[in-house]
Amino acid sequence: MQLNTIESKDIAETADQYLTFLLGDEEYGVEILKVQEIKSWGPYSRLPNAPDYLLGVINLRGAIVPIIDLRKRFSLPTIPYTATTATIIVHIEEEEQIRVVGLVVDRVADVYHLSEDAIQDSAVLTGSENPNFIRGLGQIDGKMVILVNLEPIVASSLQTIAGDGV
Amino acid sequence: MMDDDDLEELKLIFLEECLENIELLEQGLMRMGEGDSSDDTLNEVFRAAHSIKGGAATFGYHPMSELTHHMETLLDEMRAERRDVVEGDVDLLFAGLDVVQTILENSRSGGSSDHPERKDVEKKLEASVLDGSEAAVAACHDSPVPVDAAGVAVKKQWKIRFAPNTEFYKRGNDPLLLLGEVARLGDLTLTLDTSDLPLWADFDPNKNYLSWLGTLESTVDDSEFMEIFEWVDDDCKLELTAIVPSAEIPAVQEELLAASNQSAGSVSVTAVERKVEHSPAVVKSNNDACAPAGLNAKPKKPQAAGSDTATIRIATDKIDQLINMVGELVITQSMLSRVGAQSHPVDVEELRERLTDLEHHTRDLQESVMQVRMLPLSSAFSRLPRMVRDLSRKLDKDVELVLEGGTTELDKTVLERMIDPLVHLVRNSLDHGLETPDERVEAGKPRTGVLTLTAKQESGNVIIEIVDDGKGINSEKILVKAQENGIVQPDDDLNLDQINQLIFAPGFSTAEQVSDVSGRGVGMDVVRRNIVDLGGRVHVHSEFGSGTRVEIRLPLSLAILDGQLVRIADQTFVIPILSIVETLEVSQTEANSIPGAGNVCRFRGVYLPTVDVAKRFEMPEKSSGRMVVIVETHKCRTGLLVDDVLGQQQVVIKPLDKNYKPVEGLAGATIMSDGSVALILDPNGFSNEPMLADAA
Repeated sequence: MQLNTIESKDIAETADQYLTFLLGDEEYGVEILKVQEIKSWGPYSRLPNAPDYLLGVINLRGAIVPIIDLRKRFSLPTIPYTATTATIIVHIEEEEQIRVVGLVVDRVADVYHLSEDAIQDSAVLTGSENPNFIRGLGQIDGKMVILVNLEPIVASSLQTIAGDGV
Repeated sequence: MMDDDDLEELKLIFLEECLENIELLEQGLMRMGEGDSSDDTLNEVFRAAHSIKGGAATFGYHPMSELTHHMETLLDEMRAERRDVVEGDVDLLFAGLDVVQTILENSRSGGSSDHPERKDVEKKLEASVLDGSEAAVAACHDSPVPVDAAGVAVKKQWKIRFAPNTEFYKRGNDPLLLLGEVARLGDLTLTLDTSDLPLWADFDPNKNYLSWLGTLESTVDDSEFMEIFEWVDDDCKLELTAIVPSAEIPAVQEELLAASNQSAGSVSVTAVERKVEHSPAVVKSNNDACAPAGLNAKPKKPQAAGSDTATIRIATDKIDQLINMVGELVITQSMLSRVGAQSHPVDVEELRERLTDLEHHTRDLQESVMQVRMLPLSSAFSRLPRMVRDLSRKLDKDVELVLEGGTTELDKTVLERMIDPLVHLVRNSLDHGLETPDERVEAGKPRTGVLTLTAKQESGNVIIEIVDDGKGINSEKILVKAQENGIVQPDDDLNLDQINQLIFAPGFSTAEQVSDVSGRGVGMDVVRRNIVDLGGRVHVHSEFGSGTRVEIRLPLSLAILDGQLVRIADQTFVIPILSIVETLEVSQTEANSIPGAGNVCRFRGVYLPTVDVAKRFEMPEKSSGRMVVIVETHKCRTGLLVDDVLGQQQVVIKPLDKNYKPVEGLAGATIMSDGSVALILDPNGFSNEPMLADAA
């Protein structure tokens, strides 16, 4: 019984933790529970007939993992990949299947606690090209963190949802 | 009685075992059909039928157990030499076997556990048994089955005492099922003896305290009765005494009552049933002991002759996981070797030595793990003799089937998916290849045609050949037909070999009349497609008048592939070696481009569609397209333009759709020794190109 309470408390605590990363000057955040690991920038193999933001695939300890350049995905100007360029490996659940995908970002920033009430709904954002990419806006020490919705970003990038094929 | 899951699992094991037993039965019956009536064969067939019957009864497949019971009765007569093995009976047994097989297949797919033809076959079997015993009685007077003048077996009475040991349930036995079987032999009256029941305080629900007394009125002899208890005779006391007919029956019943009057009344079988069902805890707490019971019983019986291989059932996904892990190990090892090779020689002498060891060990390990999935081809071959037998009769042809190299092993998946193509090719040879005996004599050949299947392993591939000494392929007829069907153009310049391969083209069938043997639409193109899907190739050689040879080349496994590394633009790709026909320099091929229809190149006198892979894959860098790799695809040979041809390497196939999705033109990916990912080309992914085939 005791053990259970501790565990669920742990999960509750990590549940509102976010890993943040930088794209240009903006700081973005993803739920830490969905982050598997962070890899430094390395070579990859391009995939045929893929959109430009789907860079290709890498070898993650024997698994073939696709990587998505978030700058390109968000239609931001591209910069050369450097030593700080990082690939955040995330896992998302999609149609009862766990998919492992890498997100290429300028660099990894920090880990923050953000309770639900510190997050502002993204409904205020209108006119965005892909409104469902953003989950909300968080405020930390007066600075804004854009919290992203991983599932729609990954699904639209890999075009894995039925009817969305190339 | 048990948890449903456990029961389901046991059922699955039973169904699997049934398949094995059916195979044994079939092989045995084949031998009997060929005139083999040796004890070994008869015993093997009998045992197989008996195991199916026992299992089917235990798991509630009553139609199946009833039918096998009838088959078994006939076999038993043969085994006891009360009747000869005659062809009519063997055919009847085959018919029974077919019904059992259909029932089994239906049951496996959750369908009906009965078959409309079952009753019919049972009646025939029964009639045959009766015929035989009449004949036997006529021949010798001390027949063990007493028969009255009308040919009806006389009923005998038996006194039964069945006292299971206290540990009876621990072995997963169920007295009710056994007694139920006894009740099927004739009229059974039972009395439950509960005199051994202890006081409630001493009662152990895991133990048996019950025994049964009773009389059985039946036409069977004691061996059939004993057979029911064959698996449990170590776990119980069993007495069977014949009673002299009529007058003494009341006395016996009195005696029985006297023996049990302390606590139990006369209980019928249904009452016993209720009693057992009311105490599920009795067996439930014994689950662990129950599960292997069905298997435990087996070793007590002598193993079937000639099939003494120790086997173990393992779920294939467990093996696949092992194979994956070993694949990883191979990759790690090759990465380590690279590091070792690049380091300074003085410091790393030792490291290199150890790396060489590691390399040997991982290779060995990989080979042995792969072996787990390998099955001998004989399991696919085994179903052919029966088919050839039936078919040659139907077609009035004399055929000798020769099977060679059945011990050659192949991956389970490859093997399973090869069965249909093999069956089809053999049918084809029988139907179209081999002539009737008269035609053969006229052509100066022996009356009996020879159909030979050989399998062998050659440089990492398995080669299966189907050879007949029939009339061969009439290439002129093939060419005319192909032109009629628009498969080739009248001015196409084809050599003999190319014409012969046309039989594999989609929409091609030479069967002048559609028989129910072949020509039912499932053509040779399906055969070819199945083989190509497995990463294999098929080729037909034929000489008109003297025979046909079909050669199939298959990869040993689907998890590992012999790859040809090529460079396209700036990336390394892998092409499966088995699908490569030839590699040429573009300058040798008179490559041309047809506006709106893509490229072609000339290869051995024929123009083949040619794919610029870099362009097709929309790669940012341009390919110089210096080399062309000719590959075999579903449809036709196709040229792939590449920049450079690199080395050859065995690669572990990794799926792309685990984290991404399937990509047309790719069979998967693999990891190279430097840790980078190389994509594996799927030649069939290029055969849909809107090119020559449509444009021509």
